[in-house]
Amino acid sequence: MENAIEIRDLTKSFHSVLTGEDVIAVDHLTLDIHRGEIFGFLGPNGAGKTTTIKMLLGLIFPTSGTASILGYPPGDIEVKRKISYLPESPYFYEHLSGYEVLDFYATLFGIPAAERKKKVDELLDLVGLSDNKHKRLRHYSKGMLQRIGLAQALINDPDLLFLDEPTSGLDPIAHLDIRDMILRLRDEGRTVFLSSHQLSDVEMVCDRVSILDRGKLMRVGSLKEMLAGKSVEIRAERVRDDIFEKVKAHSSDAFTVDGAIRVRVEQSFVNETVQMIMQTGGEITAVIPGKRTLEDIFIETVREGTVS
Amino acid sequence: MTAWVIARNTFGEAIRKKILNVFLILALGSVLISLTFTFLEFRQQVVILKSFGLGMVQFWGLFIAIIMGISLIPADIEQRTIYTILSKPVKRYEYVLGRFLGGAITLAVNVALMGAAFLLVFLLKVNTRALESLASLDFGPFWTSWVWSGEVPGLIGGIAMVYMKLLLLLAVAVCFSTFATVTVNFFLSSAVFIAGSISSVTEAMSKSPNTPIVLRWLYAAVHYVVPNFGNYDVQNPIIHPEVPAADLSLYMWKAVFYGLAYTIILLVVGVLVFERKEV
Ligand SMILES: Nc1ncnc2c1ncn2[C@@H]1O[C@H](COP(=O)(O)OP(=O)(O)O)[C@@H](O)[C@H]1O
Ligand SMILES: [Mg+2]
Repeated sequence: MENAIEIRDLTKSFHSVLTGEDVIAVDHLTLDIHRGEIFGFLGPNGAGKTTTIKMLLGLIFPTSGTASILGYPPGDIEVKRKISYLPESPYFYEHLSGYEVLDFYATLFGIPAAERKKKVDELLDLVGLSDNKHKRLRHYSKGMLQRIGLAQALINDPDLLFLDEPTSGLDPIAHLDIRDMILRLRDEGRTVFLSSHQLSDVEMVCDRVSILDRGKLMRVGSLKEMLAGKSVEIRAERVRDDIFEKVKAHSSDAFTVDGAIRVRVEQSFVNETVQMIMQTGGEITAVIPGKRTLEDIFIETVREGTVS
Repeated sequence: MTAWVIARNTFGEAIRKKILNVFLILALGSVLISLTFTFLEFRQQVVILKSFGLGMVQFWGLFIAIIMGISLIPADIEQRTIYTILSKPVKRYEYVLGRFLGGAITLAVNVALMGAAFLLVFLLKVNTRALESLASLDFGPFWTSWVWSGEVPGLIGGIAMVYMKLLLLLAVAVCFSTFATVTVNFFLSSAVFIAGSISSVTEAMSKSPNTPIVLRWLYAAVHYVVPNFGNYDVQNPIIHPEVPAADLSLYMWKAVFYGLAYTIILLVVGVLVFERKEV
């Protein structure tokens, strides 16, 4: 089987007792996640990312639609041996130390005592918590808890990991560590379902991404294809004002400072623009194949959704 | 097995949180208070100590049973610790069972400690003469005058009955906690406990011709559905052993099986509700 996750028409609505209305958190979501890829599940706050993940794990139940995880239905005891979950802002038993909490989770997987000790120590080392392993979690910082969260998600050598906003609210160093860890997971051939609204992270680590907005899937595709834009950035100096105005009319993005300009134009308009500038005494300093950022796409997609 | 791992962790949590120690101290304190009833005749003092002591073990035990029962599962949901547990290879029924078992163990340890403190105070009380020998620093007569009261096994039986009653209450609260909020459950479980403690009243009302028919049905329903907590009130025969009881130990075994059967039913209901619960 090629797909790690197959989601078909998955829908979840919550009934609000307060307003008496139904909120559709996830709206007929259909999506395939391939084996071995890092899949970025993007969307603004409230888009339905966490709701989707909780349905895939069997923590909550779909209103309609189906999902299959490694060929099993969500919540199946067999599939739970092969997957793991790092919840958004994770909480763990605070009365336990870092060592004890991982030992507890390892016991739930039925790992025998001797192996458990080795495994737990290894994981604590991996996430850099060896020095604090006997401290109670009550005294852990948010970053340390996130590391414990990652460690507990690795305890069973999972084939598939669900990471819900793993970098939110972390300092830059912890941020980088977690990103490196995710890249290592891909090298090890695991599948990662990464939910995030931190676009920079997703951009660095994901193979494919999808954008969810108000429960609806807006876009899905390979990150490379999505980012490969058709626009080109042109930089030039000594550009006449009237020429700048002309170029600006065809540009999605234009700046000028004292005759030095930076404009973004469509591929088809590049030659014309360059000629115009050179013929009027301007000097081209750079022509850069326009790479759009994920942020551009994200904002564009979410805005389009708002307009329509 | 998985349920046992959860139970052990639940017990460890209770120990480390130390809230329960407060109840132990309160229980010991209240038993000691009964020693101050010295204005009574000695024999009466002992009777009072016994009934007061068992009463106190039950009184503080009720707090422990209710507080744990209503919060064990909701606390995991509220604090979101349940996400990482239920996404591990843990079946939902194993989780509910584990939480309940952990509560039952915690309750057992607390009742045992409170009971032991009570028995100790009781033994010291009936050993006035032995204590006097200690006070006069004449240790010889201490051992010769020490009496091991024959009432101790009966009192241990009484403590066991209190435990059974509390265990049943714990099961009620855990069952309700799968669908009721903590606050609602507090009143609900308390109401069930009270209704189940006055079983003879509800029964009488359901049969009284003076009760309107609808209320009679209601009382009958309450009488038959709500577990009978009054079954475990065996204090009287224990406190007054001179009064012959038909066959106390048979009665107690029956009460234990009754309680276990009810507990199992409550847990099955709780599990069925929890299977479909969104967390
Ligand atoms: N248990 C719930 N009850 C009611 N509404 C909910 C519940 N969980 C989520 N929602 C609503 O569903 C929508 C999606 O939420 P969520 O999945 O948490 O979004 P995201 O993780 O993308 O930020 C939000 O509007 C949220 O308010
Ligand atoms: Mg979320």
